[in-house]
Amino acid sequence: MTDLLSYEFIRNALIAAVLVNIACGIVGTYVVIKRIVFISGGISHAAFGGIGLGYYAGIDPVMTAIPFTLFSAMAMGILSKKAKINEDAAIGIFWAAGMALGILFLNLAPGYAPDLFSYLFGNILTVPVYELYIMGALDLIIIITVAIFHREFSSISFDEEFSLAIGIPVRMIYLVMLGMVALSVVVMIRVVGVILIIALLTIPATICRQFTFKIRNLIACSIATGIVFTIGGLIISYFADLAPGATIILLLTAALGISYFVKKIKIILWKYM
Amino acid sequence: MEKKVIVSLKNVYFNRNGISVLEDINLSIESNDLMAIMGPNGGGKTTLLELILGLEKPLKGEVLVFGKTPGKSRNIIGYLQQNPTIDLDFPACIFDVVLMGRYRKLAGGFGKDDISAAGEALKKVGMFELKDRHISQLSGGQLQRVLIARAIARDPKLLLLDEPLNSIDPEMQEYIYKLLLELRKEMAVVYVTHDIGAIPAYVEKIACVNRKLFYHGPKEGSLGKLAEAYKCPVEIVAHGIPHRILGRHKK
Ligand SMILES: Nc1ncnc2c1ncn2[C@@H]1O[C@H](COP(=O)(O)OP(=O)(O)OP(=O)(O)O)[C@@H](O)[C@H]1O
Ligand SMILES: [Mg+2]
Repeated sequence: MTDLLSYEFIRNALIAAVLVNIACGIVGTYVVIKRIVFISGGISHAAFGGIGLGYYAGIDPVMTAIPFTLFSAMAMGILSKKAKINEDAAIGIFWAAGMALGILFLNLAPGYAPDLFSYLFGNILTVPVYELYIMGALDLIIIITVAIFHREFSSISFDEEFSLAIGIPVRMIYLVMLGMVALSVVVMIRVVGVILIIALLTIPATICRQFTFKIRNLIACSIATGIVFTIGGLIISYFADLAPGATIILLLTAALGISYFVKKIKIILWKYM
Repeated sequence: MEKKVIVSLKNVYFNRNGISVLEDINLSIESNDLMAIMGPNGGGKTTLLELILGLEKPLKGEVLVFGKTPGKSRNIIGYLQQNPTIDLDFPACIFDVVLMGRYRKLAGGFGKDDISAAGEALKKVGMFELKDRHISQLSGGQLQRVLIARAIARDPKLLLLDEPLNSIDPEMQEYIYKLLLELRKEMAVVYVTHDIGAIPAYVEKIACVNRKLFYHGPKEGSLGKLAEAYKCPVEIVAHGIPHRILGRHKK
């Protein structure tokens, strides 16, 4: 195990696992309690368009994905609240259009065909060092945002109408929340890929909310759960020679199943003791 | 105590989807008023509160709240919705929910006074013992009391309660009326009801809304007007007998 750590790509993967799960644990908690899983799916697929754009323009795809994804998130957030547009439909349209745009850009990109697969399914073992810095910076932005707006986030998640009545700028706060989703999506694209992002945003928070109803604990628990299973999945995938992203997700899914079981047993024990 | 007008509506009209909901409403609320807004289902009571809160804009006319446009004074208004849009799966205990009522400004935090005010509000509605329970583990009436606590935890100058006695048992109703009497020493209390039987003796002012404002003023004079709005006799109001003893009006 210790000699594994002497490989730089392994060390980078472990650092990436921690950084990704800080973003996921925080943002995922709000995605789950605000019930914005579907719009987060839309945002993460729209991000794909940003990645294609990067290849097309010949710059680092993450650098184009950040503004592109933020823009898509804002557009979805604004359009989906317009009374005349059905929210589900607006999200679905962005979902499909972003994805299609990504493919077209890749088609048009000069030179070699880029490693599409790594963005669809992720590859945590190929994270370059400078992207760790980007992830760290984005984590910091997310932490600061939540530190400032956690009361507003809770309030609009719990009761939107009351929040408006007591003077919370609900629209604006909602867009800030979607902006955080967009940032965390970009952070995760490399690691788990566009397709599996939703799982990493939702599963740890879903596991943890069974055991606590303090948001602070929920966030901490989600981060810890995410880190444990991401690294666990990495180790398994390394020795069994499996795709890391898919292994991580399946491990998390299994953990979710087991956690339901544990919760049930706890309730039964509670009753009989 | 000197009274001053804190809310005034002048010739207010409001439409929803092109259909007239409120017409030519003139209404004023004074500080420390205890006012009941009555009227049949769909009469526009909730809409009236939404106009005062600035959640809806009038089509015509002027709404002034504490001398300003509605929405500018949200820090001193407490509100209980008729059908709260809350998410019962949300991770919060009762105390957390009441604390949310203490929200004052963007990007702030809750301090010691907020925590004690939330606790006081819970005591007032008799829910302090359950403060650490998850919100999904309450009966309908208990939840209603928690949401009333959330509204009064704001220490408002104007308390707007939309059907506060929904699913509250008779004993608790009595208790909540007493609470409203206490609260009005500190603030104006306006509550909505469609139940004419639910006006106790000590409510002095009544506004009767059924698209138009049929009556607005002291309770004694409202008899005939109420009958006009409801199309049914309502002697109870004039008699001023506490609501619980009275039978509901027959359809
Ligand atoms: N969201 C809405 N969209 C369209 N029309 C609405 C909406 N809300 C209320 N209305 C209409 O506005 C009118 C007034 O409604 P309002 O909710 O103010 O009545 P209310 O007096 O509070 O009735 P209730 O006793 O049933 O609560 C009704 O005719 C209703 O059909
Ligand atoms: Mg109503």
